[in-house]
Amino acid sequence: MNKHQFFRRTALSAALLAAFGPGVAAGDEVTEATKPDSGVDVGAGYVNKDNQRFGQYNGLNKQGGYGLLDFYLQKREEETGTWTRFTGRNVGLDSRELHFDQERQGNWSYSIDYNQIPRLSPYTVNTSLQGIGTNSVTQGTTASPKSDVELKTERDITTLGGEKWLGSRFNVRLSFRNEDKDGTRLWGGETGGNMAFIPEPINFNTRQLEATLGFIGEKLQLSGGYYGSMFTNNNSSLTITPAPASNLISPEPLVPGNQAHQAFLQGGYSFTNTTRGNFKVSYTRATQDEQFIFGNPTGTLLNNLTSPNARVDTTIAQFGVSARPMPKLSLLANFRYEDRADKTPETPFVTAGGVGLTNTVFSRITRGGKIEGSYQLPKGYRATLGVDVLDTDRTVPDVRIVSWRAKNDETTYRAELARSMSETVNGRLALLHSDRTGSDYLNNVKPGATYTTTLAPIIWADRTRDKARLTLDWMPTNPLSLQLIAEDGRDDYSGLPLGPQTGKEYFYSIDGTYVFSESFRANAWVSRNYTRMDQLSKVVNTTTVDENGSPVPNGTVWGAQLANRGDSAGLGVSGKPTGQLELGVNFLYQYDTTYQGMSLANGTEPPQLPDYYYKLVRVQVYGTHPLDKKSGVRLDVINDRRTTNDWLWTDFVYPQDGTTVRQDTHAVVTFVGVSYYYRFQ
Amino acid sequence: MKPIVRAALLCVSLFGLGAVSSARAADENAPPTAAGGGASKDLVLKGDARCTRCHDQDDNPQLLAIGKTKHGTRADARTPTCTSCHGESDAHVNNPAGLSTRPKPDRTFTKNSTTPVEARNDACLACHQGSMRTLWAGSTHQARDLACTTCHRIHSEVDPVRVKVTQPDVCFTCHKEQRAMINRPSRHPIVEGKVTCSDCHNPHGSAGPKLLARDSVNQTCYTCHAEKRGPFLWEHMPVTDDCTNCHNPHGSTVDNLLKVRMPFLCQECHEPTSHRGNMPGFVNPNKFDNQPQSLGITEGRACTNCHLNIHGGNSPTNNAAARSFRR
Repeated sequence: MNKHQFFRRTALSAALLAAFGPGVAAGDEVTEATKPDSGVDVGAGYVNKDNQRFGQYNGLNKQGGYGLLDFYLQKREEETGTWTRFTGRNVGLDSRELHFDQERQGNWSYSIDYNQIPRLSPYTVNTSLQGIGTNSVTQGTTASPKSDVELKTERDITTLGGEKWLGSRFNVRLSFRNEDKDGTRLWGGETGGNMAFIPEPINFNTRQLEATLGFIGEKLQLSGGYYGSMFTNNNSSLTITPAPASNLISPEPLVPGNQAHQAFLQGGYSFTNTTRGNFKVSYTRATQDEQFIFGNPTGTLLNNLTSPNARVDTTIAQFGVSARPMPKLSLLANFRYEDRADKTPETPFVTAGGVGLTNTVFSRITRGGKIEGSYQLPKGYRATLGVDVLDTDRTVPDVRIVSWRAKNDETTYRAELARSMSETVNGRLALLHSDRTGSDYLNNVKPGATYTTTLAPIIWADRTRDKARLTLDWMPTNPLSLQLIAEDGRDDYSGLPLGPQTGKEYFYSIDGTYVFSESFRANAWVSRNYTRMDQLSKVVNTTTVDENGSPVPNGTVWGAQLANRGDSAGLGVSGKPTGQLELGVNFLYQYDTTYQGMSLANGTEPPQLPDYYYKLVRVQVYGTHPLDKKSGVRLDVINDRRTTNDWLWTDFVYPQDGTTVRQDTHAVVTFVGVSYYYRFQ
Repeated sequence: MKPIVRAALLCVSLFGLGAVSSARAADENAPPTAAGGGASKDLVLKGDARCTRCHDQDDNPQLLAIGKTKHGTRADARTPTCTSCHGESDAHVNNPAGLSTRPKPDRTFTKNSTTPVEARNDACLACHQGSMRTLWAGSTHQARDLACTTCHRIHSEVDPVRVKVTQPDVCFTCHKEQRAMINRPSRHPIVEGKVTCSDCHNPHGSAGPKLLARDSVNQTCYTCHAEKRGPFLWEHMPVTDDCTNCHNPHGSTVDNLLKVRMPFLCQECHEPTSHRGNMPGFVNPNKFDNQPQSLGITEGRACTNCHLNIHGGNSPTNNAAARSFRR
C-alpha cells in the first residue's frame, strides 16, 4: 500500500516556474521522454477532528484547514552535467521538508536539507503541575484544579553536505547535521513514597559531523574518515517544588550531555573476478563529563568528584572474503570483533551494608564468525549451508543483582534450498538451529542484602532456537502473481529454574497482484504474526493473593504467558475508468491483541490481567483528472479509524497530585485534500 | 514502432552501417532526433543509436526515461550507454539467424531474466563498487542472490527505493513482518516518510549485525537517540549491550517500542527478590507502590514509575536511589 498518497508530488507555481525554465515545446517527444521533470502540488486540506494518533507525526493533529504544498523542481545543464534540485514536501505542515542541492556529476556537489519531525504524545494529561516544559516545575495537590495538557516534541534538523571528486579515483565527502529537539515527554518518579508526574523538559541539541576520503580503483576501494556526535542537554537539571522528600531530589539531574568520536577505515579488494575481500575497522571514544547535579537532600558524599569522567572505547573490526572457486560453488567467510571497553574510573559512591559501592562499569568483547557455502544444483535449485559462531566475554561487577554470566557461546547452523529462474514458481526454504551456552552462573551478591541465583536472564540464558522459513513466488497465470511467506520458530531456555522458559513465533503472509490491463490493477495481502514468551518468577511477598483472595505462600512459583497476535490486511485498486480520470482505493486493516496470562504453581489461579487490543482501519481514496497535458486536479480522502481497550492508564492516578492520563479509545478522523498539480520541464 | 519505419531501418542497417557509424561519431553530442528516415542518431546516451533505432519514443518511451536520471547525464564522462549494461547483444540487434522470436540482449534485468544474478550485478558494480557498497560482497542480500535491479529501477525517473516515502514498500516486497509492525500503536514515523529503512540499515552491506547502517545496534540508535549513549555513572547493563534487548524498533503494541510490558520485561532478567518478583494486578486499586498486584507496577509507567532513569543514571549522591535509577 502506498502511504502518504495525499502528498504525492506533481504540480507547479508561477514563481518557481520562472526560476526553473519554460515548459516543454510541443511535439518534442524525445525531449519530453528524456529531460528531467519538475512539478508542484498546491492545495488545501481539512481534518475533521482533533486527534493524537493519526496526526502524531505528520502535523495533522488539529481540526481545521491546512495548506498543502509539495514541489519537485530540477534542472540539468546538458553541457556541463550540472543538476540543480529544489524539493519540498509537506511545506504547509509542521512536518515540512526542504532540500536544495547542486551537483556537477562526477565533480562536485553540495546540499542543504531542512526537516521537521513533530511527535505528539498519544496521551492527554490532566494535571495541576505548573511549569511544564521548563526546567522548574511546581506541583499541586490532589485538591488543586487541573487542566488538560498535550505533551509533544519537535525535531528541527538541518543537514549540510558536500562532495568533491579529486580526479577520477578520489573523493571527499563532508556532512554536518544539527538537530534541535524541544518539548516534553511523559516522565516521573517517586517522592516520599508517592509516585509523581514530572514531565521531562526536552531541550536537546545533537550535532553530527562526518568526513570521508574515498579511493575507488579497479580492484581496490578504500574509504576512511571521521564521525563525531556531540549531544547537549540545555537543561542540566529540573527544579521540583516542593522539594521531593526522597528518591527524587531537587534539582533532579537530567540526562547529561555526551560526545562520541569515531575514526574508521573500510575497504574491499577484488583478488580475482571471483574472489573479493572486504574489511572495516573503527575506533570510537564516547565520553561524558558533565558536572554532577547534587540536589537536595544530598546526604553524605563518599568522594570529592564533581564529574564522572566517564569514557567507553569501542573497537570494531570486520573482515570478510567471498569466492567462487567453481562456477557453481560460492563460498564466504566473515569474522567480526567488537571490544567495548568501559574506561570510566570506578569510585565508591553509595554505601550498602557498610561497604562503599562503586559506580557500575561494564566491558564486553564479542567475536563472531560465519562460514557459508552455496552450490548451484540442476533445474535452477541452489543449496546453501552455513555456520555462525558468536562468543561473548563480559567483565564481572562486584555487585550483582542478576544471575551473572561472564561468557556466552552460540553456534548457529543454517540450511537453505532456493529455486529461481523458473517462470512459474520460485522460492526458498530456510532452516536454522542454534545453541547458546555459557559459563557458570555467578551468585548474586550485594553487601547487606541476600539474593538468590535462580533466574536465568533472557539475554544470556542457555537457549536452543529452531526456525523455519518458506518463501514462494508463484505466477499461476500471466496477470496474477502470488507470494507466500510462512515462518515458524521456537526458543527453549534452560539453566536455572526461573526466567524465560519457551518462546514461540509464527508469521504467515499471502500477497496477490492482478493486472487487469495496462491501466487497471489490484493488489491484496493478508498476514498474521504471533509471538509468545512463557517465563517464570517467584512470589516474594506475603500479600500476594489468588483469584479467591487467599494468600499465596512465599516462594510459590508463578508464570507469565505473554503473547501478541497481529492480523493485518491490505487491498489496493487503481485504474482509469475513463481515458483521463484515474481512481484509486487503498484499504488497510490491522488488529493487534496482547495477552498477558498468569498462573500459579500451587494449583490456584491468580487474578488475571485483561487482554487488550489496538485496531486500525484506514481507507484512502484518490482521484486525479488532467485539465490539460501538463496540469490537473487531485482529490484525496482518508478515513482513519482507531480503537483500543488498553487499560494502561485507566485507573492510574498519581498520588502526589491526582494527575491522570488518558487516551482517545475510539478515534475516527477524516482528511480531505484537494490539490492542483502542474508538471513541466 | 510503425512497421514501415522498422523496414526502413532494416535497410539502413544492412546497407548503411558504415554511414551510420561515421554519422554517429560526428554527431556524438548532437541533440537527439526522432528515429526513422536517414541515419540513426543517439537519442539519450552516447552510442545508444544501436538500440534506440528500435527502442525509441514510439516503441517504449519508458525506457528513454533513463535520460531523466543521473544515468542519462551525457556530460558526465562516466555515464554508460545501453551496451555498457546490456552487453553488445549482436544476436538481439542483428538476429542473424532470422528467428521469429528475436534473441534477448546479452544481459537482461527483468524479473524472469535468465542472466545470472552475479552477471547482472557485475554491470552495476563496474561503476558502483566502493563507498556505501564496499561491503556488498558476502553481505546477506548478495549471498541470497539479490540483484541490484530487484530493488532499483534504472529506466524510471523516480527510483522508488531511493525516495523515503516509497522505500519501505520496496523492502516490504520481502520483509513482510516489518510491514505488519510499522502500523502498530508504538512506532517510528515510517508511514509518514520521516524515518525509512535505510536510516537504520544499509542493504548494500555493513559491518554491523542485520545490515545496520552503523557498526552496531547501539551506534545506529544513537544517531537519533544520542541522549541514551551516556556513558552514565550508573549503567544499566542490557542498555549498554543492545537496545533491542528491550525494544522492537519496527513497532510494538507496548509504549516506547518495548517488546513486552513491564514488569514482565524486567522480570525476564531480575531475580525475584524484594519487590522484583511481584505479580502485577488490580487487587490493590488504591495502591500506587511496588507491592504485589498494585497499580504501581501494573499501570502507568510500571517499573519506571519509580526507576525513571532506566537507561542510566548520573546522580553521585550516597543513596540507593541513585544506584537503582530512581534519581
